[in-house]
Amino acid sequence: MKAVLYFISVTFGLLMFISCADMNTVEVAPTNEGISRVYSEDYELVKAAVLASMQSMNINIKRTNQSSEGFSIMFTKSISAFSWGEVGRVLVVDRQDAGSEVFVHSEKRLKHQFAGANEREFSIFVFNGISQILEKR
Amino acid sequence: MKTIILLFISFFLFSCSSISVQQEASLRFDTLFIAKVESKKSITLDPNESKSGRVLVGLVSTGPIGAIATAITEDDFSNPKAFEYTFSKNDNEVKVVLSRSITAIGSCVEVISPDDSKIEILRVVTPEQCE
Repeated sequence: MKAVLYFISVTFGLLMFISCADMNTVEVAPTNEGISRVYSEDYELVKAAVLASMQSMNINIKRTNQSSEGFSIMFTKSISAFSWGEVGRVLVVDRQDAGSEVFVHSEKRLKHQFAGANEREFSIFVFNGISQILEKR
Repeated sequence: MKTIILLFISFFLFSCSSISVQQEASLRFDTLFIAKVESKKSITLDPNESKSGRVLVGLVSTGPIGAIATAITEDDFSNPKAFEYTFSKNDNEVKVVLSRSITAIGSCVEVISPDDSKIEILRVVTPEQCE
C-alpha cells in the first residue's frame, strides 16, 4: 500500500511539473496576450527603450526576434527560494500612425504556485523603464 | 545533522535568489555613435543562468522529482543569443558592437549604451544621418 501511494504521489508530482510553462509556451501565445500600453513615439525608439528597460531589470534576456507581428524579447526569471522561476515575452507592435504598442506577457513555470513574480509586476517595471527613457528623449 | 543540512540548503537558496522583480541598474540611454551596419552575425552570450544550477536547486529543494522537473527545461535555456554587428564610421574607423537589437545590413543606426555592460542597443535612423 505504501509503495502504491508513493508511486501515485511521484506520478502526480511529475505530471504537475511536466505541465509547467516554458519559453515556448509564452513564445507561441497570441500576440495580444498580456498587459499592453500604447506609446505615441515611433516604433524604432520604443523598441530601443523596451530593450534598455529590460536590461536594467533582474531578469535574464534569452533571445530576440523580429517578425511580421513585431519585435519580441524572450526572458526568464531565475529559480529562487519560493519560486520555480518565470518565463515571459515582451512584444513591440508597430501601430503606424497610432504609435507603438507594447505587450508584456509572462507565466510562472509552475502555474499553481503562489509565490514568484506575476505578469502585472513585470509590466510595471518594463513600462516604468520605457516611460523614464522616453521622457529623457 | 538534518537541521544543519536544511539550514545550509535554505541559506544557499536565499543567497542566490531574488523573488521580486527589481530594477538593478540605473536607466541610461546614451548615444555612442551613429554609423552604417556593415556585417552581422549571430552569437551566443555567456550563460546568465545554467540548467545544471537549476537542476541542483530542484534536487535539493524537492528531491528527484524536482531534479527531473528542472531537467526538462527548454534546450536553449543556458544559451542566450545576441548579434555581433560591425560598423564603418565616417572616418573609416571600424567598430564591433554586441546587441540584442535586430537590424538589417546597410541600415543607418544610432548605437545606444543603456548600462555598463558591453551589450548595446541599436535604433534605426534616417540614412542621411550616416552621410
